[in-house]
Amino acid sequence: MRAGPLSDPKVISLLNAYFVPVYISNEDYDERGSAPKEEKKEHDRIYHQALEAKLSAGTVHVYILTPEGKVLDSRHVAKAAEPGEVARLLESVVGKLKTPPGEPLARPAPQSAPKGASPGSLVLHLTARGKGCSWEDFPSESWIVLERAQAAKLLPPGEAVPGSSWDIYPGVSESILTHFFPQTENNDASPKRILEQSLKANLICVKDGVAHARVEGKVKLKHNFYPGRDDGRLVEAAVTGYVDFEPAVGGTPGRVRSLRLVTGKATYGPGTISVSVRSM
Amino acid sequence: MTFSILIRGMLIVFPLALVAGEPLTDASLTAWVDQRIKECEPKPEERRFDEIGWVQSSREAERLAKEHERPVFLFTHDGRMGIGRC
Repeated sequence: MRAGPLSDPKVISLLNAYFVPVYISNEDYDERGSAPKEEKKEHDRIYHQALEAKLSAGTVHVYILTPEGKVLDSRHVAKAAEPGEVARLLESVVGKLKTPPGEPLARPAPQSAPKGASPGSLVLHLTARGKGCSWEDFPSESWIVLERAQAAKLLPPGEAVPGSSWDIYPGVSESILTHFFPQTENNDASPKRILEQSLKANLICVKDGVAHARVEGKVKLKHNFYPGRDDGRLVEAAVTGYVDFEPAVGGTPGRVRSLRLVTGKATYGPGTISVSVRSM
Repeated sequence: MTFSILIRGMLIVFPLALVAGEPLTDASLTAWVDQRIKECEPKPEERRFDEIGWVQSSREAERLAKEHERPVFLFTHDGRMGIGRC
C-alpha cells in the first residue's frame, strides 16, 4: 500500500483535501498491544460494523467511515492495491457525501522519526535494502538510540593514540547490528538472534581535537522472513565505517561526533542486502 | 579511442574492486562510506507517503471527522509502515 496507492499523487491529494487519514498497526491493537483500551474497543467496533454491513473486513484493510463514525465502505488490501482502486473509492465517497475540499487537518510530517531520545544520547538512523530476498519497493528503516553511557562505549577505553585499536563493547555493537535485516514480515529485532558479531575500531588520526577511527566488523544473525516460521535464513554481512569523536580529556568523557557504517558483502537468504547507519 | 576505452574500463573496474572487498585505503574510506550511505538511504520518491497529513490515532481521526464533517480513511496493517518494516 505504501509503495502503491499511498504514493500516488492523486490519492495523496484526495486524502489531504477531503479525508481524515489514519493508519494503525495491528500489533498495537492485540491483547498485549500498547494502544489505549478505548482505541482497541473502537477498532473492534469498526471491524464488526463492517461485517454486519456485509462489507469486507480483516486485519490488513482499508475502512472508510462517515463523519459520524459509521463504516461506509472497505477494501481488502489486495483489492486496494490494484491500480486506481483507492482513487476511485475516495472519489466515490466524496461524491456520495458531497464533502467540500479543504486543507489537510494534520500537517504532513516524516513518518519515520526517532522516539524517546534523551539529551546527550546518540541517535542512529539505519536503512536496509534487500534484493532478491525481500520487497524492494522502498527500504526499511530503524532508529537506534544509544544513551550517553552506551555511546561512550564506542570509544577507546584509554588514550586516543593513532595506530591503537579497540573492540567496541559487544553490548553496544549488538544493539546496532541486530537491526541489519531488510523488509520482512518478521520484525523481531532482538539481539538473541545474533550468532556472531563484532566491531573493531582503529584510530587513524587526531586532528584539531577530533579523532578519526576506522571501524570494521561483521554480523551473522538468524532472521526468519515470517514471524514464527523457521526458514533457516541468515543475515551475513561485513561491516565497514568510521567514527569521529572528541577523545576523553582528564575527567571529561569522550563524545561521538559522527558514526557511519555500511555493509560490504552482505547476504540474506537467497539475496543480497545493503545496510547503512548514520548518526544524526 | 584506446585511451577512451581505458578510462571507461577504469571507471567500471574501480567501484567494482571496492565492492568486491579489495582493501580500502584509510584515505578513501570516508568518501566511500559516505557515498554508500547516500545510495542506501531513502529517496524522496520513496517518501511520498510522508506528504499525507496523517492523524496519530483512530479516535483522534474520528473526533476531527465529526468536527470538520469529513470522512475517515483508516488503514489497518501489520508491522510498522512508517519505517518500512511492514
